[in-house]
Amino acid sequence: VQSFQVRDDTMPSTPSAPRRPITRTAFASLAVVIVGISPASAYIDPGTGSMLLQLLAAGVVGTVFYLRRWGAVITAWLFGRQGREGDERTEDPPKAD
Amino acid sequence: MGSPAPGTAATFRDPDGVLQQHDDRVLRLIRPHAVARFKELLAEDVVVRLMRAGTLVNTWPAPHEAIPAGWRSAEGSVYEHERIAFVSYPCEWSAAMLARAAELTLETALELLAKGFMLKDATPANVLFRGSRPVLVDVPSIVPRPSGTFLWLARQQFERSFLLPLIANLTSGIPIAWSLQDPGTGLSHERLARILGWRRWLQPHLVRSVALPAALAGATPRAGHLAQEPRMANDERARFVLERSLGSLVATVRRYRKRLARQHSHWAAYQTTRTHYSDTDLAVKRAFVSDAFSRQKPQWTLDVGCNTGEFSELAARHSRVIAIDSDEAAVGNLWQRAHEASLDIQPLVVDFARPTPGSGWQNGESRAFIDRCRSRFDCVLMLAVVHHLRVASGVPLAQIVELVARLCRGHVVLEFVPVTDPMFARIARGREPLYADYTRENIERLLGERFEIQSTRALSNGRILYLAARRGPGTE
Repeated sequence: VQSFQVRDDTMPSTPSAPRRPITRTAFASLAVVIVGISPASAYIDPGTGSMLLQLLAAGVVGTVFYLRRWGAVITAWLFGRQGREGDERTEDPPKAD
Repeated sequence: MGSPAPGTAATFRDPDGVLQQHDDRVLRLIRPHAVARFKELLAEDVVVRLMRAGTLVNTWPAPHEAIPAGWRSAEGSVYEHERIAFVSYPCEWSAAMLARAAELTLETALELLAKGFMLKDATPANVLFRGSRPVLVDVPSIVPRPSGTFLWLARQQFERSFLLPLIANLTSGIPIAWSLQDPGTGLSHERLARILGWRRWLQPHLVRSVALPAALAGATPRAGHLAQEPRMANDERARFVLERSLGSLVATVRRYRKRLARQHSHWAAYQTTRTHYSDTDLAVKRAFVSDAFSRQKPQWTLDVGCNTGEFSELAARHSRVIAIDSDEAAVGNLWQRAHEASLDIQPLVVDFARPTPGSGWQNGESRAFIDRCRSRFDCVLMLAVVHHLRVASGVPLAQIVELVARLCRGHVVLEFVPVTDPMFARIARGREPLYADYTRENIERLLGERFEIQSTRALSNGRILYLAARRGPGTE
């Protein structure tokens, strides 16, 4: 098991863009909201920028996940159906996170 | 178990194992901590299905007699991979090939994700081409996905080694070979951001793929933040997030593939604008080459300076073909046609005058193109390419014939373009006196030293076709 690297220093680098403390804080806060801790097994550098953007996207898509499920529950309640045919995810009741 | 011997092509960066070629076998030593997992992996339905489909390289436990002496006492287990007949490297691919390799990587990642696995790395170095079709060859990069994982840790590597070289190629014409000198590292977001300048903020896909990652690359999270991989408590939600993330990447790559398919190089129009060939001469040339293939029945053909690939396609009716040209767009167009028609042609961006050198650790991770081709081909096509090598690249005729003899174990079909030809005049531009050695007599004398000229055909446009058989065993 390798330690988890967060800095991207694998290329002869060009100067990075000016740092934006507010953006950093926002992403870091988002990370803390989503975070659950466990060891990683990657032996490649996942990169800070890539990680932060994935976290941001995960926040949005993760919300969509619940919206879809609640939508399916409401549809089922209103029309007495189990969501759209063939959509496996809408066939199960929503679980709490 | 130790490092691979110097000078041998091998991979050794993955902590789970080492790959080496021994004689004609491709063997992988899996280290003790990963043996049980790897054994289970090979029995998984999804892995078996991918192998049967030909998109993942076939793998099985190596028979005892195949295991090299140095590995018999090593801890771990040795597995054998199906040998992909001709190894090419990402720096030799056209952009269209890289895009298809990227698509395959993502499609595989999605299929694995549905069955509880993921790819721990994603680089074009994990892909080889079987003819015109890509094959994922790094089986140990498939690992179980821990519950709650919603980040793809290989995404940055995927972006740098697949996505950004494609963007650089499409937006600024940067050659894939430049971006992928090291396919494991690729092109950094910061470097591409500098290349694109303000353009990176103009299109949403560039903002997401280049501008924002480059702006955030220097960010340093506060101590403790992101020090370990975040997970979601709800695994179904985590998988949903990962699926959407990979799905969005697939859509982006497919858009790029479509753009590449629409692109046409100046070479694509060559066949229709060809004025130096009458229909009769072209028919004679095709018949000459076709007859040579019918009689010699080569297994492997190298088409040097394949251009639009007209004769590579003809060769593919009889043999497996490696087609090389220095023009990336021409190679891309040929690959597109070969892929659509399932032809056994592997078109590569290789300049015969400056072929790919060995690279990586001790220059041994990627073998030089000439080393991979030595005594490999039953037929070498040198159609209207010798004058380019002589004039544009300044290589003496004797050395050109010498190199062809080194790669060829069967026959060569050579088209000699005389100095009076308009295409020769176009590249010589009045410097004809510099190429006094470039004569019909000289090429026949040099060919005769290494080959036996079996057939000659003069065309009405002054060009001459030769079919010559290699003298001796051709095993230099």
